[in-house]
Amino acid sequence: MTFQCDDRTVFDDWLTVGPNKRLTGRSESNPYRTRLLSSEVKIWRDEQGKVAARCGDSTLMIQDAYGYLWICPSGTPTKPIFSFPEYAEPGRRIVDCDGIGVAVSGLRMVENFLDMGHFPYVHAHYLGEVPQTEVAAYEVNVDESADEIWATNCRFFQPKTSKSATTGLDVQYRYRVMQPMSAILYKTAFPRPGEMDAIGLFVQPHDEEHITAYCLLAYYDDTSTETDLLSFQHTIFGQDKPILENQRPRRMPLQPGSEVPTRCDAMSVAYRRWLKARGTSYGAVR
Amino acid sequence: MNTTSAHAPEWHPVAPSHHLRAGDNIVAAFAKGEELALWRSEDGAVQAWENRCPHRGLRLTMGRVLNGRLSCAYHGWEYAPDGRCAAIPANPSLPLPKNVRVRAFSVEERNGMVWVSTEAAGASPSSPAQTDREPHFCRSLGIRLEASVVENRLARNDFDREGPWAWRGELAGQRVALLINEVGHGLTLIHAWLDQRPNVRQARAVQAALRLLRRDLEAGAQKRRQA
Repeated sequence: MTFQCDDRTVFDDWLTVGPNKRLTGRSESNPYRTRLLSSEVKIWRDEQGKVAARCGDSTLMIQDAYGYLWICPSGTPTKPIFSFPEYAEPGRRIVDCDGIGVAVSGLRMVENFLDMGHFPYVHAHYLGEVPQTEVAAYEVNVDESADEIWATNCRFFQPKTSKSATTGLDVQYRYRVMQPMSAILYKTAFPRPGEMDAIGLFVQPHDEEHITAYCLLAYYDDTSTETDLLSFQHTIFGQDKPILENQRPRRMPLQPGSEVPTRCDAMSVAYRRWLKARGTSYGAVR
Repeated sequence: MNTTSAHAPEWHPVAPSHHLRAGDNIVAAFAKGEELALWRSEDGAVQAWENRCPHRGLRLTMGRVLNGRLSCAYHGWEYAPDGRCAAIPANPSLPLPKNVRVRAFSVEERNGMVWVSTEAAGASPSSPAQTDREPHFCRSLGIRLEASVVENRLARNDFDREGPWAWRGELAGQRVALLINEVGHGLTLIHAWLDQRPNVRQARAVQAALRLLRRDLEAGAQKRRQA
């Protein structure tokens, strides 16, 4: 084994190592180098334009999907990469926000992404505002066939839901967890209230307590500049970073009772249960 | 001269009292491997809590004190001075869970210093500075050594043990009390107090002497005496 990971569920998963634009100007002799599961991986495109990767002397299974690079560390993936139909949907604008480094477990990062309760406190004036702090009841379901979790009928009042928002809006949300370290959220598109924007969160685990969180937008927004969209998203992530880096412990406790949830944490509770049931332990307290 | 006690004292000097303003700020502190959030409720009582919100583990020192309660920075959960959860803003209409409370430690204030016991009960701390004058806080400084090593080296540097974690000596001609605060992970804090309020020149000299003391302690050097 070239990677430090004894969690089969993560070992057999597709893990991102960043956007494919990292490979520009790279080659086998001058590859893009990055850290995954405590090991350095080297990535490049061969002469046919095909992505290739190596860890030490081992050739890795890698693919290019949704503008991102994905490695299956074991070479024996349990399933194909998740579907992301919004990525190719006409009318949507794809904006890669790249990544932000966070000293936390990938599981804590994903849980933060699935959480509406922190909006008025961590994202005050943007995604929430005291005293409108209540998280209305929503539904959580596990899609057994796809092995994904969905939270539906979520809504939250947001003073400024996105770069294009000019007024507050009661925003509808849907959350989808495709893998322990990949999730997509869907939220009301401010310029087209009948449609939903999609935001993908892809986490690269450098090790169990250090990650890069990448963010990909599939938006309905014809007016904002790319810089504005990036800046908005990085403002939001920049607000989450100091919170995430001050959670103790850095790894996610999966033992019931070690942290106390409330009703609005239904998605977080389902996520933790799902991780425990499928035996995911990478980035969790063991 | 007595340099080490048979048992480690269970009370730890963690912060100067005047750093805690009633109903206002939250101060990070440490006691023997425990990370603490200190705050003073409006009635003046100091709270010493585990620096961790029971909900999602956020350090409580990231939060703020609002209307006499500590409000967590992550989800705004509020904790009353008795440590009980007093508000969950995301579910305002639900009854509060009775069993959710922050882990709290025993606290005593003596001679301007907050002392914390990480064990449930215990005797009160001995007075750190046996003086009828109001001691003057100088500074806290971090030493990259275990507390027991700091104490052994203070003894070799002409300091006298006055009580558990409390040492007396002279720096730059000033009488000082040094309170040793075991952080853990190879770090120790020294909270330095002066018997008398120094003038500007004396304060500078004491600060310089403290920096030299830190250097000597970390280097394991024997005593140094200034001219």
